Amino acid sequence: MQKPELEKEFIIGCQAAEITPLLKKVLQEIDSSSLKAEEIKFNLELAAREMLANAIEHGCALAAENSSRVEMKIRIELKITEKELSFKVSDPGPGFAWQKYNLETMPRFEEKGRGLKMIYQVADQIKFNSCGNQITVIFKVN
Amino acid sequence: MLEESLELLVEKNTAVLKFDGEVIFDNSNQLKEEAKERLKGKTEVDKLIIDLSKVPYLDSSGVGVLLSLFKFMRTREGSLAIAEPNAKIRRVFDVTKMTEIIPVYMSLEEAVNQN
Repeated sequence: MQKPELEKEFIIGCQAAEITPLLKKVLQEIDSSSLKAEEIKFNLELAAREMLANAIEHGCALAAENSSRVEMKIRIELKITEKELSFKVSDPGPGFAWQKYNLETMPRFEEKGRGLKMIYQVADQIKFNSCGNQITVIFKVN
Repeated sequence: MLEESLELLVEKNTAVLKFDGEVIFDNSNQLKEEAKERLKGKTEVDKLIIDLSKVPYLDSSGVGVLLSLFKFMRTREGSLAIAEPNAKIRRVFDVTKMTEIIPVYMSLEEAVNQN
């Protein structure tokens, strides 16, 4: 495992209004690193917005339905090494059966079901934890 | 709920629907319903242009709003076009292949003239 050049953790509440300020901080952190790749930042923002939307819309909503004692927070980790940038989002929800999800076929006229497929399209790699309440995207550097 | 608004300008059979603010999962349903409600009263409109010049970002649920309005216009045998998306939104359109369904123009004037 390579030693990260940058490793940062952020925590936000389950509010859509927190997404844009968070992404501003994340992009500032990337700018302060040695990583100079506008295309990665462009794709990261697109993926991150969908990941955070899913965390709020599904993770937080299901967590609130299931238990009032769960801490309603979303944890975000940004890591940059010489070879890659990784961005991880963990939500307080029970997760979902990502193993059964088709990431490849983009819906045509349907109004829903594009978020994860968009993430899959722009990232070099996408990973889930076993229960599906944590998603990581990886962008290769160079 | 995020702050957002929409404005509908109608001239003869053409309407320009202008969103102001992000169109994302938190407000997309409300914006979609409000847009349809306003269009229902304008039965003469068969050309709709969605002006995105004041929209900093539109996510996958925003794409859903555009497709919903595309289908709404199709039921009245009308057309829909999109004008002035920024670079981030154009990337969303590329990834979702939206441009294969709805024409996108770089300026409102171009959309009005060609739609």
